[in-house]
Amino acid sequence: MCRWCRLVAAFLLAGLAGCATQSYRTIDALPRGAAAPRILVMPPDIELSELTAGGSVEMNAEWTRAAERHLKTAIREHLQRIQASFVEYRAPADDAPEAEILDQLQPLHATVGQSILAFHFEPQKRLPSKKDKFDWSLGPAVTHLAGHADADYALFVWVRDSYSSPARVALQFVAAMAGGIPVGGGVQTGLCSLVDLKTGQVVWFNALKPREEGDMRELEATRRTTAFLLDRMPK
Amino acid sequence: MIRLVSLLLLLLAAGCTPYRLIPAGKVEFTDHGSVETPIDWNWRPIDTVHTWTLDGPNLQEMLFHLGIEDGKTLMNALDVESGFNPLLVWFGKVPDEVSFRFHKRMTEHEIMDLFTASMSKITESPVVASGLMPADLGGHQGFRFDYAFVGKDEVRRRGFAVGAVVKDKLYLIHYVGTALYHYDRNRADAERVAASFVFAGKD
Amino acid sequence: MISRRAFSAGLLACLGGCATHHESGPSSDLPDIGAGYRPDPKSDEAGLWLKLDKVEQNQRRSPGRIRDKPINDLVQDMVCRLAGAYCPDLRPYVIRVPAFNATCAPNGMISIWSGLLLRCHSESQLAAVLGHEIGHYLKRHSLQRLRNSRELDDFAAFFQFQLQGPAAGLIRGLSQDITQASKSMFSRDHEREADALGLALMADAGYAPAACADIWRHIKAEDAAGGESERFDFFLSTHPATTERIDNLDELARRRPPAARPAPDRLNAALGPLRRSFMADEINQGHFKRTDNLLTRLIGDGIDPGGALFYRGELYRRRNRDGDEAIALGNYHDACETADPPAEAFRGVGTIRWRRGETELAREYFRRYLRVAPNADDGDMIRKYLSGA
Repeated sequence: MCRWCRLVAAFLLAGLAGCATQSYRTIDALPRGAAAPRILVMPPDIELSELTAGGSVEMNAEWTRAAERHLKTAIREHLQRIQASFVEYRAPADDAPEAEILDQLQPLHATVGQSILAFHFEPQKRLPSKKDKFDWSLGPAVTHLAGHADADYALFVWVRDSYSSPARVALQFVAAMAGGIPVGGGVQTGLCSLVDLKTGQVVWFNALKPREEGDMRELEATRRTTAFLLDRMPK
Repeated sequence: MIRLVSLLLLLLAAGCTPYRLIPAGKVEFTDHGSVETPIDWNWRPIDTVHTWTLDGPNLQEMLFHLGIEDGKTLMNALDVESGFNPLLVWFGKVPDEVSFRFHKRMTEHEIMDLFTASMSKITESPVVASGLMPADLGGHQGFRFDYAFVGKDEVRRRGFAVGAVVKDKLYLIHYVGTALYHYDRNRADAERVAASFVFAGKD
Repeated sequence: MISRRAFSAGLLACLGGCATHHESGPSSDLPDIGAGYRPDPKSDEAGLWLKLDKVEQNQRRSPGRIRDKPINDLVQDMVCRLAGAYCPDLRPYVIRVPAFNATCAPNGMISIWSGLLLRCHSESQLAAVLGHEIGHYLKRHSLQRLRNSRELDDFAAFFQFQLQGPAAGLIRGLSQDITQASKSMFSRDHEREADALGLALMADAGYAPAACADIWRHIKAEDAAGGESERFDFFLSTHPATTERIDNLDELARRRPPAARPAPDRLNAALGPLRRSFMADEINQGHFKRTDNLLTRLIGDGIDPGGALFYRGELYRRRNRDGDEAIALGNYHDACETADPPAEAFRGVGTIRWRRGETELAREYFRRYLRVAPNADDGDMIRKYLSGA
């Protein structure tokens, strides 16, 4: 059903659609010594949900599982294509001494990422003391990640995507006919960071502007979303 | 619930006000006093509180509650009774809710307790304070303590607070940040700001 | 879910409901769950499980989870006593949330909130709650509730959208009430079924079945103290439902023969000092009458009277109306005289005496505080009071 849904949604809200990412970086290329820098790929934090007509959001297992698989594949392909040396993160045991710090890094990244979105993306909301410099960090605790996986950088990816149920698409349609009460369709948002594991500094950050396209339930579309997200990642 | 929603709305509304620069140097708080800061900060008033940050309020924040009068809450938004429907009050049917208020006779332990109870309301998470000890604020005998909580985003945070009661009014300055990084990074700067506080009307 | 009152309007589900007087019968049109059950991966139930597995993963490692071994060992042991063959499918977690609630998700995750543990006086009362939750699990209620509420939500959105003009707000409110009332009707049948099954499970395990009604009596008393029963609400008045529930549970308990081998009561030993931290969270809620009712009941029933008296003192000291200071002081003094006084009770007496200017009396109690808690982290502050500064 949902290819059709999305078509209708895209048609109704064409003004908002359009691919758009915005990225910031502090380095253009990863410094290469004798060996290529190793990137630790954190497990993508992704959820695909269905938006019911009533507005409640329900995560859909099949979609999320598929998208998780597709995203991992797409990231792997992308990193292979750019010939990066990388390793995938393996969670520590619940009782490992560093488990608590490693557990805290994922939510800390999400909070730092949201702060970057809130305070760097719109020039009028920037924090004036930063003087327009892109300067964000997770701090030296990331060295635990470096030790855990023997890596130089960590790649964090966070995506939330929702799709309208048929009832909601119908509601959007009715709303548009009746003179435009905006009823939001399914929206994709995402952000990713490359973090220097010696300092914790975010050396590159990219965010998808909320958009109503990009079906991550399919590998091909996930590849496109991944390309938007990772395309300008320093190599 | 309604009170909580309005508190959240208030904080959201504040989210739309852009931050303004506080350059390093002397900073005046009208009627209350002044501080010296070694570094630049970003300032935004919320309710009756001045808030400063470097990387955003969810990463680290310094807050100034200055001149809280007898019977007042730490922020106006925490005063639940002021939101009661006057008709219901007239008929004696008030909700079972009580605000945590400052009283001029409070001891240091009571002020720390007022702080943790108020912060628990704001953060919707249990806030725990420790290490209460005598300290000086702007040349007046006061107190300081540390605090900690885990936010709704599952991120651990730490903070410290310094305060004093002067002429029956409470002055409280505190600083909070993520336990993993941001708290430690600017703690020394925050300590210097708090230590530099001078009350208005003093030479 | 056992919560008897809403924490958000949308959750007003458990006990409320307009008059549905039909007799409770099995409301479930799904087969009961079997031991070791896993859903078909293609079903909507599998989607729900995956979502819940994520929630559970977060909950397991959440800083809000209470990890103390004695209480976790106890609830795990109780779940096995109550659920028998289903024990491996059920995973209980103790969560620090100061409200009366427990939930059992269809994937077998049981969450027990600290505010509920605070209100349980005995292991049998906790068994009543756990039995009820296991009842929901066995009858697969939350899956049905989720399916149903989804349809209701869809309905409500259309209803609201089509209404414009001055009456729209009123009618919109009404449509929400209708939705909630239907949800409530639906879930009241579930609650009844889980009550009956839970009582059978706990009584079979040797727990005292009278405890099932007792816990609801506590809640009813707190609701009444907090003024809940005075609120007029046609669709959602919880009060008659609680009364009916208590009557049903009393009747079911009367029909049970006495247990051949009564179960032990290990709750208070397992909670230990945790109960006081739950009291601290409770008074931070800012409810005065409700919390006063709870603490007074704990004092009366001899459930950690030292802690309950101290926190009742804190409750009055914070409110600070005329006369509250004297009541607070009295409670601190009484707490000091119990067999297991919290050190803070001595400090509480000192605090009130100090602010009254009764310096020497205050110092006596500050000294007693330091004797009980020589390593207190506020020692410097206390020594300043003692030094005569």
